[in-house]
Amino acid sequence: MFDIDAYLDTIAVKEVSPSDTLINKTVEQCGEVMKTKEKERKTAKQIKKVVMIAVPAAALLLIGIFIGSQLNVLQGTAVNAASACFTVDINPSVCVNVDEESIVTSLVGQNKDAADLVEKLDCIGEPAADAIYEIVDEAKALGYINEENKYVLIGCFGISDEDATIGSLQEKLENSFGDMIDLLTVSGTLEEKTQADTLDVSAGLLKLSRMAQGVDIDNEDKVEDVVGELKNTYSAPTLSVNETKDGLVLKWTKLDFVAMGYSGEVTYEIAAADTAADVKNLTASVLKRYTFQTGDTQNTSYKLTPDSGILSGTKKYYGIYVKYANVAKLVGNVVSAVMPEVAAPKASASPAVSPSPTQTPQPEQEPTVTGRVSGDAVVIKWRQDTSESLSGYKIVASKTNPNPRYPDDGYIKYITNKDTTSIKLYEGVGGLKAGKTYYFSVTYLYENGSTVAANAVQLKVPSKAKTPSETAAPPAEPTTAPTQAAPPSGDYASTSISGSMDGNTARLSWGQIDDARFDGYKVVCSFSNSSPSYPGDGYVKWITDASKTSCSVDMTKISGYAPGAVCYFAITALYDGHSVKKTGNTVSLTMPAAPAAPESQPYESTGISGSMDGSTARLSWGQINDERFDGYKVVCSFSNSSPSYPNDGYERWITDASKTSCSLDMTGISGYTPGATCYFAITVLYDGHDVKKTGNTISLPMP
Amino acid sequence: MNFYRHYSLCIGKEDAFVCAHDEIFKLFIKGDRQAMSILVETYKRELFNLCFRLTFNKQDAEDLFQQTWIKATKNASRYEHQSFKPWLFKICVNQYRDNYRQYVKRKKLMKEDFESTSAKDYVLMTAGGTDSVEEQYERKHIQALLIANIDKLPQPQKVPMVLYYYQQMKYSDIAGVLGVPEGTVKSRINTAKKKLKGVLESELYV
Repeated sequence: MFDIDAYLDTIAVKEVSPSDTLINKTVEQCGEVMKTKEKERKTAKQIKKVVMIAVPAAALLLIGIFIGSQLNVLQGTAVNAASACFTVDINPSVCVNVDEESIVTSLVGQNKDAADLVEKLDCIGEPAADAIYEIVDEAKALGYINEENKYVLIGCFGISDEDATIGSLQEKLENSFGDMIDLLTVSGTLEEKTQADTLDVSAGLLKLSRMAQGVDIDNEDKVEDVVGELKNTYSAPTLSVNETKDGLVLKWTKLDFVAMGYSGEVTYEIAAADTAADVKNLTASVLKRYTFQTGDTQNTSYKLTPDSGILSGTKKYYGIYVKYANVAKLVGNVVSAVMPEVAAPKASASPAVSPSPTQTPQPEQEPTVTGRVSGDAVVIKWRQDTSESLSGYKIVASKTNPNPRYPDDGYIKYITNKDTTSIKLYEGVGGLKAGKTYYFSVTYLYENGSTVAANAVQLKVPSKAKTPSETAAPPAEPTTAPTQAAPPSGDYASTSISGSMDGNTARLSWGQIDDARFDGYKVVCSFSNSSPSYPGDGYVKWITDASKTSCSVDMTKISGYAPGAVCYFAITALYDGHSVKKTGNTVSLTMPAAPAAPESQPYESTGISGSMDGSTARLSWGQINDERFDGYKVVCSFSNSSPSYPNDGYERWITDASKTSCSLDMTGISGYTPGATCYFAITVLYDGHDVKKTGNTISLPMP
Repeated sequence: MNFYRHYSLCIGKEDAFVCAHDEIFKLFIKGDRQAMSILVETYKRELFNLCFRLTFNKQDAEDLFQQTWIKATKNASRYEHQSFKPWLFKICVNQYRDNYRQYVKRKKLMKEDFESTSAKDYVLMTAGGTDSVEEQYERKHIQALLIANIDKLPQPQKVPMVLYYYQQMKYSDIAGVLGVPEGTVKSRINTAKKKLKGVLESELYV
């Protein structure tokens, strides 16, 4: 029997020693790794291009300074050999001079407080973000930052990667100080810094003061003094929101630009987001943009409907952003509201623009409506308008409004035949209910979108006869689909939906419901629920005309839209004053895919060349410029005429893409003998060493 | 830096490195090249022997040695205050696992199986003085066979065998390096031993 333990327990393997060459190479390569890491550490990830300034005054004012293209051009021309700098203003004003990699080269106190503070710090050689953090921390420890004085103003002058530094700094300060400080940032050119030096004031404060249109400052001014002036200079309107039957109306106050001392271009952006913070942080979606000159009439309201892309039942936060000619961007107060369900029918194809009085074509004769009950129908008649610009007649009904008109009260029929002057309306049409009294009217619609409303008549809708022959289509409206009225009892029907995508538009159609109890169709869609229904999934269209059995939905306006995503659609039919809801089948449609990504860039190898200098091989190769690059493996072999990494090991591992040459002492290479031939190649590694590309081979004779 | 002065005073003492232990790691983590250089120098023999015993090929061992240090340098910030050597060995073993397929493929391609005739060069004679010359020769022959066959074991069994028998590590330390429970280490070693026993019996007693 073989006793393996007796042999294993006494087994001992001779020790081997690494060569000095290996140790030296290893130390050299690790040194390169450390160098690369240091570089990477300095390159913080990019943050958004707009640098924000938070000025939490009573009105929740937020200001952002734009690094506009104009400023960038100035930066480009003004940057010279002088070092760039960050300024830090609390009350102590410190100038942090940095090199091209944002490493601190010197600290300069710009007032007495700052001079004292700077003496306590040793930040030379540190990344700028670390140094600024230490300055703020020290200022706080010395009592310069407290409940009354919370502002910290950071200025970036001639800084090429200010976003990275500011991003890193913001995170640090937020984590350490939270609400104890209010961080402001401004951005400028070295030229502006030089001007500030000439005036013996902080460049950051000077930049801020220029936003306040020339507030005089000296080097003992505090940031809040300038911010106060700034707030007095620029302001944002006060916003309010009201619910209407059509949706929401946002209203805002007019601004007095004259009193503000500002003239020029102003842009209002109506913004919406899921959170108040997004609105305050200027990151909300812009729904509408108005650009005007200070002398122009100011818009003061904006109407939002479910067609605006905000689903009924959805709560959103709204704000109005004001941009002052590429100088400042502010947001005033934030309001929130839930988009109501829109009860009145709305046709997606119909114009919703109200006319301006001068644009409204006048009917040839005063529009007049008469009406009567005839049998089981209401008959509405109106005066014909033969003008060419007439698009049609919108038949309008309202239980409560004695002067209903389109579009405010929706419509129940749209008649495009200009010769039609009457209509017979039965219960169920457009949601009319038997036994209920309505105000009926007709709104004349013109090609330019303008409307003229006629008078209204009040009539009670009679019950409809139950025989099919009595449910024929109104004679005056031949284009209207006949309604097949079901008795007002029995099962409530759902309807089947089908659809297809036409670009980003979903074309949907469904079966008509003929039921006297019918209220309307809720067109429902969801990207997340494969069996959507109203009210759980909201709705995108509310159609009360039973005969309207198709619609189109611009999917890009639907929350959750993404190229290639699957959306589920259904129709929920509502009955009996919305008390009964019946949802039919679901149809899924795939959104069009995003354009194919460009083919990925091929991985390149690099060509090597070289020569012998005594027993030293001098090698050089072409530089690789590829984000996926990991490093160069310098490979050599005395036995393999086509060496590559990893099969042939390597002599140098170089992670700096710009280093494209090296020297090898060949006497330290395994296999070296005088007169032998050695083969060299470069293997380029990519994507975390997953991809290896070896270029050409050269052979060099050893001396 | 005071540390280097302190370290230079420690050189020559048995605990030269230990006396400066904490400081050197702190500096290494911060990216100090001199600290890295001292660490490479301090651990070069132990680490290179592990590399060699895992690969039994000088070139592969050198690659593995360099890769281990490069990875350790890259991941220095992840080093917490556990013992440095197990951390370094763990990196080495993980790198070996990553390279394992390449080694196997390479050996097959180059028909460079580590044969017992080569292994004999690495067997250190530790037999007791009572062994006769013949017995010593026999022991060396069998141990060379064992070394050659341990090298051919699948990686999950080979690594614990190398750490246990060649590096003289404890089960608990091996478990730490491999990131598996101690029982798993024992079980893998037993499986390896059974396999080796079968192979050697067939080679020795045919």
